[in-house]
Amino acid sequence: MPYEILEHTADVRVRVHAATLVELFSDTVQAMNEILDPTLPQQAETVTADISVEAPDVTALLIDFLNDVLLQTELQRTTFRDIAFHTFTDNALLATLSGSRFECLRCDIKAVTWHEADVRRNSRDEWETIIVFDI
Amino acid sequence: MVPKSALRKISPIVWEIPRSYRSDMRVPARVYASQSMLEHILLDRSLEQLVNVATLPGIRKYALAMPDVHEGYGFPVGGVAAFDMDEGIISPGGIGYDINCGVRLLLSALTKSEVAGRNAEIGKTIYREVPSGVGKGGMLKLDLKEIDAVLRDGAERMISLGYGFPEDLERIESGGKLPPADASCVSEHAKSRGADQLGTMGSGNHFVEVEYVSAIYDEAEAQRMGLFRHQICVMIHTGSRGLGHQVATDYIRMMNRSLASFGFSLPDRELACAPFRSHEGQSYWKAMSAAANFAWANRQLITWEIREAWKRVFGAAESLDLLYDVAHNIAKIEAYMLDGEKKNLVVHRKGATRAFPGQPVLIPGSMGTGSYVLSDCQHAMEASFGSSCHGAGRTMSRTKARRETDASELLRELSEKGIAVQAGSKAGLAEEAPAAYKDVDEVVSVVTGSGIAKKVARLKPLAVIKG
Repeated sequence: MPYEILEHTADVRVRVHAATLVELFSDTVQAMNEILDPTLPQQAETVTADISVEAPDVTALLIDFLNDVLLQTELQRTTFRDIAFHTFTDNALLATLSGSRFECLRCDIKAVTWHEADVRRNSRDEWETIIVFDI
Repeated sequence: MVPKSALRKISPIVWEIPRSYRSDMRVPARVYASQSMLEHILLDRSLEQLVNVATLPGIRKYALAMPDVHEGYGFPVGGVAAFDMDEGIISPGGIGYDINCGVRLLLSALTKSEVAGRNAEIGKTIYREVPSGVGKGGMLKLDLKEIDAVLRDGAERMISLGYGFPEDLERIESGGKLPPADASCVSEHAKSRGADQLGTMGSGNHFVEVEYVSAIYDEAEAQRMGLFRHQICVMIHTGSRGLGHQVATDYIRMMNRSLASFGFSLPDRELACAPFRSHEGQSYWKAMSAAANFAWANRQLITWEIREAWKRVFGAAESLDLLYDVAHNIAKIEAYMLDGEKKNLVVHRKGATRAFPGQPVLIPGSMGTGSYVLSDCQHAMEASFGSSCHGAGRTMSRTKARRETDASELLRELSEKGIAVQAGSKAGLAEEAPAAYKDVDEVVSVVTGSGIAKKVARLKPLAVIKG
């Protein structure tokens, strides 16, 4: 698994690691989807959304991106499984999300927090960060 | 983790981490806890987070942790901090994403014996009337103009639309409306997230609970509040829903980009903040006030929905009166004596309840265990910036609670105690199992033992309604 769910007294703490930053961003969205745990109808409608983020550093870029995905998840009632990055730097990204409209979610994520978030290279030369989701 | 050796015992239930513990602390940190509770608090990052709070610019006196404290993000849950209005900050991370999450208690004229055998019927009727769970919209679909009116006027707007009585407003903290609210400081995204969420409970630890008064500790105070033994009550716990979550997200993002311009270097980016008097600080203050108003409108509309359910079950003659409504994730401007001088401070409460003299303090316990009504909080004005605990406080992670709780067995145990449960998901129910929380009796005994408040009544549940 590219992510593992760790202990946190009240919320959900996840450690995500990946070979590339693009994979790290995509895998964190999948971790978020696992927490949300959507119930999809048999014939789920496909929904797309474009997201554009600029941020002062790569950690801020990830947190802002995830919060924008979460916003679209709530507004469009859709969990996004596929992400196509059209632009990706340490400070900016442009992506198209594609996913399925859900019937309901098991868990409500209020927000993606900045607490402990720090995108960096680990000892295995992978990109890694902790993300704490407020639920 | 903060080691036990860093703590100094002030009294059997007050502990201090001195300023000398870390060079960036501006004030000491104080924890209200019994010895056994402290041992548990030391196991997660609560106190490390509290020390981080003690480093924030303009903090006065202490960073405080109530006895229900547990690890959060930014501030610990159960954290209280007060900041100078001129030299200090306001921090959206210090209030959290669920702005003005809070609790309200409704009182009926019925007794436990009069509702005997009807727990499940009451629970089901309320469950049908109050939308709960994730993504469930409410009865009102507000356009932007109508949302702006709610953000400006809070619970008052609901009363003007017929969802309550004018006297309800007198029994809500701040009258259910923070005047600094400015809807223009709230993003369109936030308004969109809240557009169909008024009158909805949400999920997680939010709930509606039907309870009865199982014990009275102060007859005179109980009588003044309209509480009597075996009386049936209804407790509501929810907040500002997606609108508040988005306001916090927007302003934490904005303030993280402005930290360098303020010359701030923070130990945790979740503590993003701005000087209270700055443009950014004032914009957030007005947006947070608007989101707080949305939360009070939400609890007011839920009250109306429960009153409708009540009439359906017990007939039109049976009413539910509001005892009080308290916020527990909020910033307020309040006056305190500091060094012999009365000063207005920006008090942040993150999982802490305002506890002012003359005001009922509502402390919900874990599902199935019971709640408390407290009062007589004069000492809180000196000791805890007019604050008390906000609940029992979690002690076990949600994953561990799910792993260790058989939801069907939990339902059976609650049923044996005479508690009817209406819940949207068994996994969600397991996460909120009583074993995942501290003992509310022990938490409240620390609050009363420290003189912050006195016990008035204890409530026990009869029906639990959750998303």
